[in-house]
Amino acid sequence: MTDVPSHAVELAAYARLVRRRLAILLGLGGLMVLAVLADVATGPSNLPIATVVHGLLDPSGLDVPTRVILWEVRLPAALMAVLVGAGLALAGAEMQTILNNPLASPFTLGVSSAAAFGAALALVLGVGLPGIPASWLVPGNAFLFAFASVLLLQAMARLRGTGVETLVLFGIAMVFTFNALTALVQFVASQEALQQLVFWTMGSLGRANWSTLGVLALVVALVMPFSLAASWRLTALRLGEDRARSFGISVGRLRFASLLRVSLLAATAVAFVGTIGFIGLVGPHIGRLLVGEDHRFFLPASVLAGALVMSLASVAAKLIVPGVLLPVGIVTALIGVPFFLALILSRRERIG
Amino acid sequence: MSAALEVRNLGVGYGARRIIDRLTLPPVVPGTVTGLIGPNAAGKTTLLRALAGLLPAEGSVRLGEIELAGLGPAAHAGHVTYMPQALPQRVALTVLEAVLTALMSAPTAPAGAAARRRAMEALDRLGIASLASRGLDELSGGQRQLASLAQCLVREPKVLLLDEPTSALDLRHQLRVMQLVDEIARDRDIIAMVVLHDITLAARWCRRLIVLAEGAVAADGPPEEAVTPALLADVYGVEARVEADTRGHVQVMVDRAL
Repeated sequence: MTDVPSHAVELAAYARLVRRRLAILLGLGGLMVLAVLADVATGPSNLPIATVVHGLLDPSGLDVPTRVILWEVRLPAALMAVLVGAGLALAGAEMQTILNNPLASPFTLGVSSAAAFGAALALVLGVGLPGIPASWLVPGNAFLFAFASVLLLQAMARLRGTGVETLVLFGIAMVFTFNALTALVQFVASQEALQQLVFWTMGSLGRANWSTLGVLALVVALVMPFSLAASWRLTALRLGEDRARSFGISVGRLRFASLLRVSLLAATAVAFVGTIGFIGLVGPHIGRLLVGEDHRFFLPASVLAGALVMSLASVAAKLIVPGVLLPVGIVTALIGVPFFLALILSRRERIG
Repeated sequence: MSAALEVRNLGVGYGARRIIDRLTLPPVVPGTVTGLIGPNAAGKTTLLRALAGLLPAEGSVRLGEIELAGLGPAAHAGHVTYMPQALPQRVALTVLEAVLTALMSAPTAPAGAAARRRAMEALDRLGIASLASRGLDELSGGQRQLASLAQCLVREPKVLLLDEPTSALDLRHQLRVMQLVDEIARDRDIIAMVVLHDITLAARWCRRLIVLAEGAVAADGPPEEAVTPALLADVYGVEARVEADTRGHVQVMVDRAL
């Protein structure tokens, strides 16, 4: 046996691996920027990419209608798509890790059901927090219920220890409870309110404006550093709970902090754009397939993948039926599934 | 000589159910492997997990001058590492990354380059440096067990607790793991406690065997003293012969269940 004490070969291989992952992250980021440009360029009145780029760099060079379309309609919606995709994917990635379940997403534990119920209360019965401006009533309520549902979940889990199965079971109970409550509200709703509610649950980026965008951007920017700071501990948790604890990690605290981040991200995203499924599930899977499960790379890759898929879904929502803006929640799965299948199939080939 | 591990009046239970009640062990000395054997539900894993600080326990666990019982998870893990019985899940991580994670997820993580060097040394010590870039999901059970052991070693513990490290392994890997644990305990002068199912394997590698039955110590001593036909009948409920083989190792031949 030849002895290479410096382990130069293995360490060089690891350095290459790290570089390749950074390149993948950069590539995803680049694709995301292109998708956003395409998203801004598509719409009822087509703006050439050159005009878009020019208008973004120098708004004063545009005529007023184009400037309004670009800056007040297209750009907020495009950026909202990116932020919602990023937030939901990050939430899903953390969820899948802390629940040790590849099928987990922010909606598994009833976050979106709770948000939908909150929105239903506001839309149908006009019930909401006092003192909130009318335009924030629906998102405010959706956020409140989504966030409260996670706190309730955590409190119930505390009663029975912080086991993963307990959390999932309580979450499923929550999904059914809120779905039933929403159905009850729908049953008594007027025709008009019902239509609004159905539209809300389909998810739409059309409601985006600079202030809602600002709130979501702030939440994502505040939460992401904490997620990244926990990345080694989250990776350790993937190796098994006992193992992580024997490394000195307080798993209960890690899980609670992570759940708080998940609920903030998911509740804010859902509050502003309505129910958007699939991104929180598929973003992390794409990230995992591309860079593995070292969470220092896995979390950013999930975020970028989620943002990219959401951005593409936003483009598709405008193109599938010309002249009609489909609710983006309908489109996410339609665009995401082929993308996802292609990744899974290409991976299968490499192994076999 | 490094510090010994002393267990006094240890009590562990889940709710009202006591698994271990007022268990006291003479000091467990470093440098050799101590085996923990006993029938199913004897409390072996519970004892090991309590020593690892993974279960709340009453009583005292001292490592030399240090009382481990009251320490927080991070401080506790600085002295003791525990290898669970389950092999690491098939996670999309390379072996090197998995070992790095064991170091870097601790609150007092070394700098990146030093951590990578230590991780490679641990892999090298177990003879699996060549697997560094392989994914955990492509390894055989034996290789994953060695990777798992590397995660413990890299943390440079003073107490190494292994829960059935050989249960999922073929004959060659069983021997390899036990041989490595024996060497490491001696070289680093650390305490190694191993839960084992196979009495003959335990008698072959452990200088001291602690036999647990119903949460209490049924026998404690060198294999040739601890393992007797009377004990096997009493604790395991089997009729067996215990004989020394031509090399002086204890062999257990089980004839029938009682």
